[in-house]
Amino acid sequence: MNNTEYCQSSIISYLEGSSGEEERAALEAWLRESTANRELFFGLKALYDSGNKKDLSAQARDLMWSGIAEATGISREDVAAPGAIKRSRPIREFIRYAAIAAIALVTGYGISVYTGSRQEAAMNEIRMEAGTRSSVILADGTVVTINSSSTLRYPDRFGRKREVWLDGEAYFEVAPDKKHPFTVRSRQQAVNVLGTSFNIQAYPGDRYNTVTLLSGSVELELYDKAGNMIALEEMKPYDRIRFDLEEGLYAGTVLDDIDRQRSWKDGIYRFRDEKLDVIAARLARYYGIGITVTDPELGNMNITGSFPLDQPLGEVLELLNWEDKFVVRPVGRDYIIEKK
Amino acid sequence: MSPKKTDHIRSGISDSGLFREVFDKYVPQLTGFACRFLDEGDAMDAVQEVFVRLWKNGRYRLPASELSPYLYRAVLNVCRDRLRHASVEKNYMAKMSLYLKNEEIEHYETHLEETEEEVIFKKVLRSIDELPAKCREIFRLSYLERKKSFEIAEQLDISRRTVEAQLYKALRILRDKLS
Repeated sequence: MNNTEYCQSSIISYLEGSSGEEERAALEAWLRESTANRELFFGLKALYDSGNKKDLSAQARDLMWSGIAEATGISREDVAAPGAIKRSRPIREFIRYAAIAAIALVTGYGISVYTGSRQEAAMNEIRMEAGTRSSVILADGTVVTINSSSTLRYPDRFGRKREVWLDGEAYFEVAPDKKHPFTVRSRQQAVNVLGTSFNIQAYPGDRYNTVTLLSGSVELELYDKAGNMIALEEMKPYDRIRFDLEEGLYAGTVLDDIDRQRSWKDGIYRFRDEKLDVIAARLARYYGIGITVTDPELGNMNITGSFPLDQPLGEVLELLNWEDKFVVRPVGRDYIIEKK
Repeated sequence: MSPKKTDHIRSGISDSGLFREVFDKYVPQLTGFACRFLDEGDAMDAVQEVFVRLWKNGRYRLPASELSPYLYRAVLNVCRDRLRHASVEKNYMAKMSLYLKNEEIEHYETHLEETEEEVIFKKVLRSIDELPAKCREIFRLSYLERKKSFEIAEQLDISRRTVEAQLYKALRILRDKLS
């Protein structure tokens, strides 16, 4: 389980002053991870604190003034004390709630606790940055492994339907529950599930969505751009359907023995007879940079290979080009792939 | 910026009167700020120390736009010194992780201008004002009037799901603006 998730309640407990040793240790570990985490946390804490501040009592203020008057020699009676200035309570409260809500969104912690109603399911969001992957266990026990540059939105509790939203790629191991169908919605598609393992690739901006079923059964709904359903396909284990969103066409293949072993979940990206264009787009997402293939013919070239996702991109591109068929040119943080 | 300076040069107001005004205006927020790093008693001491110095160096005559950042930075410095000298004998120091406090101070050192109370309040209110109209209305009802989403749904005659979606959208926008 990733640290962010472990840390979510620690953050809130710390802000509220109710964190124990263990929670504080978790928070510290998370803060040490990156400057970004520290920026985020202390920024939100500043916001929270300014909403949480108790008004200084008139008594405390007078005490302070006496101390200062004594130290400076200003006569205490010299000036009249006006009434304490108070900030209206609702705005303060709002700021505190907004800070917690912001933390909730960042860490995927339920908002409902703070909006006062335990009955309503709150929507959580987990966003993976480029180069990160993480798993989350949903309220029903379903395990979702979310890939780089992908976002999963899910309620903290499920009602009659189990429904989640995915932008990008994720691998699902759905907890079996026949009475409550599980649906994953993405751009122009929905996958209805009973209890099963499958992978969805549906990145915003990509031309193709791919759904791969590993066990159980799913029903795949495909929609055109206007939102009309154009296909309803029942998938069997090892079926893979690739959907061309531009053309509204789709094609199914059955995974062979080698493909069946494949999964990015173990941190290895494998591809076989994949177009260079598609690989470049995928790498760009994983590493959060731009890769341009200048020549369409080059983009159509099929490549087979695999590499660990934590390998530096420069090395990956070198591996990709081990037959020396093209030239990789770095431009700032980005890369251009051109003909020799 | 020069007209600002005349704020404090008003006829008839004594130095101590002006100093008292500055005290009343800033002490509550500065004490609150110091409480982020120290316990209440120490926070009050720290702010007192800053004001004694303020009287002596005469900076209370600065225009507000310079005075406010000066005061926040002075409080931060005093707090940092006190944290540094705070020994384990202090009960709350044993409980509070020193690492977290020091990191927090370091953060404020680079983000102090965003910390001043007025700046934060203005930023939050402006961010709310900039939300899309429907979003803003639902957000206000939920957060400022503390209405539950089904109540808002009834009041506006829309579905609860729409209310939740709008709240979610508002929070996303605010998160991006505020963090």
